Amino acid sequence: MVSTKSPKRTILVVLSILLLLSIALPATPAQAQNYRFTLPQYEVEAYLEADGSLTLYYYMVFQNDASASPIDFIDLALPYADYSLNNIEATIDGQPMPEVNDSAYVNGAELALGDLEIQPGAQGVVTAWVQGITNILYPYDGGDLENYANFQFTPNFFDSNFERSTNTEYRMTIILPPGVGIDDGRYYTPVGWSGEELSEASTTSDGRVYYSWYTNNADVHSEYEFGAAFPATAVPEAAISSQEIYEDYSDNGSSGAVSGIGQIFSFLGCLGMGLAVIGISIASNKKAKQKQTTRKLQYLPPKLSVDGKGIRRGLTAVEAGILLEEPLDKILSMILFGLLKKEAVQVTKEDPLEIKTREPLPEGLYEYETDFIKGFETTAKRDRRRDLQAMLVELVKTVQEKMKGFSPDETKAYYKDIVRRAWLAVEGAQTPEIKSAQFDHTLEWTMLDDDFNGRTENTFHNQNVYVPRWWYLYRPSYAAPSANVGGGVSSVGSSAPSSAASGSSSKPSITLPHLPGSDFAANIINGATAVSAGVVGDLTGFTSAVTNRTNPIPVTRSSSGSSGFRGGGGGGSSCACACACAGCACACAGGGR
Amino acid sequence: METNLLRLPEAGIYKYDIADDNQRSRLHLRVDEGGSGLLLINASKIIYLNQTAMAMAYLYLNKIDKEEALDFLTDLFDAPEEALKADYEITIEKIDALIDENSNACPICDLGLSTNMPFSAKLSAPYRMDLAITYRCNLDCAHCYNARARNYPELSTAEWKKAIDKIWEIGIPHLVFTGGEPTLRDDLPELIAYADQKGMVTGINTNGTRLGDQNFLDSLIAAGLDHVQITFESHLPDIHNGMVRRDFAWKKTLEGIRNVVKSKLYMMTNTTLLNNNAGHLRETLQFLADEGVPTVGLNALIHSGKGAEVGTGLREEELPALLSLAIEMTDKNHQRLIWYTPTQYCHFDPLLLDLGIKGCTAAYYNMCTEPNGDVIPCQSYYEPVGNILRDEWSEIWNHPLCLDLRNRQSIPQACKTCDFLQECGGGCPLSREHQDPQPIYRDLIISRS
Repeated sequence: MVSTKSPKRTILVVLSILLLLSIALPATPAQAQNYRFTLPQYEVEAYLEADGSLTLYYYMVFQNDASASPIDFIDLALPYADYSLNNIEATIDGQPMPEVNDSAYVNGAELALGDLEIQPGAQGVVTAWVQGITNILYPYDGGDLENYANFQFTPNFFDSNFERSTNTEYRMTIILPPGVGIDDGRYYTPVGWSGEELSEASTTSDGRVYYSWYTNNADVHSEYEFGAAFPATAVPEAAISSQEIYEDYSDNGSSGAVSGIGQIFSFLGCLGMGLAVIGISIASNKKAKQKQTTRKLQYLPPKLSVDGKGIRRGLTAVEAGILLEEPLDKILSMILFGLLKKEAVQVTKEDPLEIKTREPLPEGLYEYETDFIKGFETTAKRDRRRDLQAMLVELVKTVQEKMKGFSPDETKAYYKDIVRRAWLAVEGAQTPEIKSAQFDHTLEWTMLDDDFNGRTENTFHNQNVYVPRWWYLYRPSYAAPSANVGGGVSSVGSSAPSSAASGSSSKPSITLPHLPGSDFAANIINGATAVSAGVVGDLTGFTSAVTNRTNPIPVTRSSSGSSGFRGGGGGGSSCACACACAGCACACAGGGR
Repeated sequence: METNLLRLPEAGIYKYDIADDNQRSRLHLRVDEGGSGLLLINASKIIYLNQTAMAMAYLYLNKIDKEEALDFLTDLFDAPEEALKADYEITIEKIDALIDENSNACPICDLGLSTNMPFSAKLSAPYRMDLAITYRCNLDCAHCYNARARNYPELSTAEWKKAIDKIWEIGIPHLVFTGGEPTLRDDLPELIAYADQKGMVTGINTNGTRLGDQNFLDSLIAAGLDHVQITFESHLPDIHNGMVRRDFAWKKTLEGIRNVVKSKLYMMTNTTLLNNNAGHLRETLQFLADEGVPTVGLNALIHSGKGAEVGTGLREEELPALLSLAIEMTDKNHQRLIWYTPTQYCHFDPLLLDLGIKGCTAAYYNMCTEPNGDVIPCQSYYEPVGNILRDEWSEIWNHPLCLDLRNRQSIPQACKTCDFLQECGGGCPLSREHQDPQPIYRDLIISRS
């Protein structure tokens, strides 16, 4: 078999199957949805049938990003072909697709995953069979072959903002109609393809010639073009269109779709949907005559972006809580427990909460911690609220400053993962001693979990707890440890407080009262509640007083009419944002302005 | 207005020159097949545009009347007219602010541009091509990264022009003439002029010894040269001359620096931090400030050519103190500091010093064309991946070595699972080969609380 280069003037085949990845969430600005996934494996088979129709088979392994939205809808658009929903079969993880409906977003079908949606961090295998696609063959006009039919095809690819693969195992196979001789078929050198010109050419078990291309370093957001030609006598004459039908895709469509249909789906991101364009078998011809289309394009608001500095590491748990927009009463609780752990303060009254500073204050306290302490030195409740609000305003501004130039979504995902791992460390601990120690060690991070209360209760429900060293500062009814105590966790001993040493005479351990796990959990939780009730009071009012004085953490807004452009004020020459400079990120001795 | 501009841009590169009495801005739109792409501003700011933003930028930069543009967009997109109008106006405001050199607006904080993860862009070509037009040099730096013979075959002037044509067609708007010493080629002004007339932004990396010749410098400026980087190793003549192994060098280079500082060219110096000169960094930086150098570049030893064997490189752990000093000095003297070298972040994290993301960008943001037309991943990585005159760009760009570097396939195993991989990238591949520093796998660390 001889390969031919794609003819200069390519014949365009309209294959109107589009697969869209869509998220059935209320329409919100695209940037509020967080779609990010890779496809470790991707296989496409295009069967050219004896009747001149096309059968497409897709095998797609989705790896959803841990911090992304669930994938629960896939739209399958069929705008230019005769098709029937009955000719579409799809599966998710080996199970039949729960529903195949008419799509409300595209002219085609909607594959609804329902309860089988691909969760964040999970992998899902989606297959789709589409049979009976017509009007996909055109006369070959390369000039070197007489009476050949031409088929060209661009498999599905996704918007690179959502699809992040770099090493996809990618296979594309075109199977020619039955009866085509092994020496009669032709394949095109793929366009845009990083793999070989051809990986495999052979026959199927039922004698059909096929061409296959494979590489393990593809991605699924680039446009690859494949094609083949074969004697026109292999299919009915009527199956070969006699007239060129094409649209100039190259002007439109983030996925490289070369039809007006593709354009539509490339802009569906504005509805919170990622874009997957599948089965567009148009090979773009840049010099081709532009065809007027009366179909308007779906609109995706303009997006201008720069390379940021990536993930902002090094935030404290409290600062991460601000970034994650945790409730401010939780933030205050976290600060309190942080100070207790550092043995900087002591709770003198539990309800309403009162604390006193321990002297000398330990070194290395953060500004928000010293401001927290100062806030509690104020006795009048209204003044204390005001001072704590001022402290939080400064804390928010500090986090905003620290985040300048960094990627907010990835940074939030990073800290959420720290919280997840903190809980893994606690829940996975093998012994009560280690569990208690881990809980103490990671307390501020575990507190960031939305279900901190529930997980604390579940973790310590049926076991004894080795209370942390600072427990006596938190619960005044417990005795202080001996001055010679080492280590952070004290063993649970008898029911009576005792300062008797045990074990080594040089490092006596203390003995604190027995504390059932459920009581321990309740104490921790109640501590946070006390902050909320006794200090914050009306959380909404407390929070408003803070947010009225801070801008929110910058979030790019993409909805029409609002771009996040603040124009004037703020920023300026001392901005610490990422350098959008091409030269700066470059390697050695780049040069440039 | 020509109606043929009332359309979505086809894939390719478009140039726009915006000049007034005060400044000249060189803009490029590089449109990818899918309609999205890049706005490059003076070859130094890269703005990624989605299709809609690209369409709007194209209409605006082609000076399409606003009402015509809005009519076109309204006919094209299924969106309310008011929304299109508002988005269009905001987009062109942002573009105006971005291209205004007198504007201090931060792209992110003030203009609301969103951020991408570093090194996440999928490109069809680098932003910049370095043209090593000769490997001849009038100096003999002991640490030179050049791994070729000085008499390496060179393309003719006509051949270089063809290479420049091809580079432009590929969509690369920025050329840096380098070497060896590029000023040794008499046709340098001609090549710069050729590239400039095509619409490209040009710069040179030089030892500066020929730039003390005012006539020669004027010829480069007249040709359209945009920026100059001059290597300057020490304020002490003996140290500088010792490092470049020529007694005349320091004086000549300083003459060149002074001439360029007086000119309208964008200029910077670059200093390679080695054992020879690191101890005098403070004084060297002060010296450069006193000479009026606006931007100072620093880089570590490049482990290629003589640099692989010279043995005067610093350990990455020594860098923080030196760079902190450099930050202190350049801040004090109101200079801009650029740190170039990609390091393994576990050993030296530039973000901790606010030096920005630094990673290997070979075969990605930049590549280099050798004197004979061979293309190598970067100025220092001497493994050709094709020839600019003979080979198709797709074959060069998708050469296995380029894919390996771009996709970071050969980084140490410990790097592959490191949480800092995206930003760090495993450091400089040449350093890994010659120094073999063992990366320290950095897991998600529960931060200080």
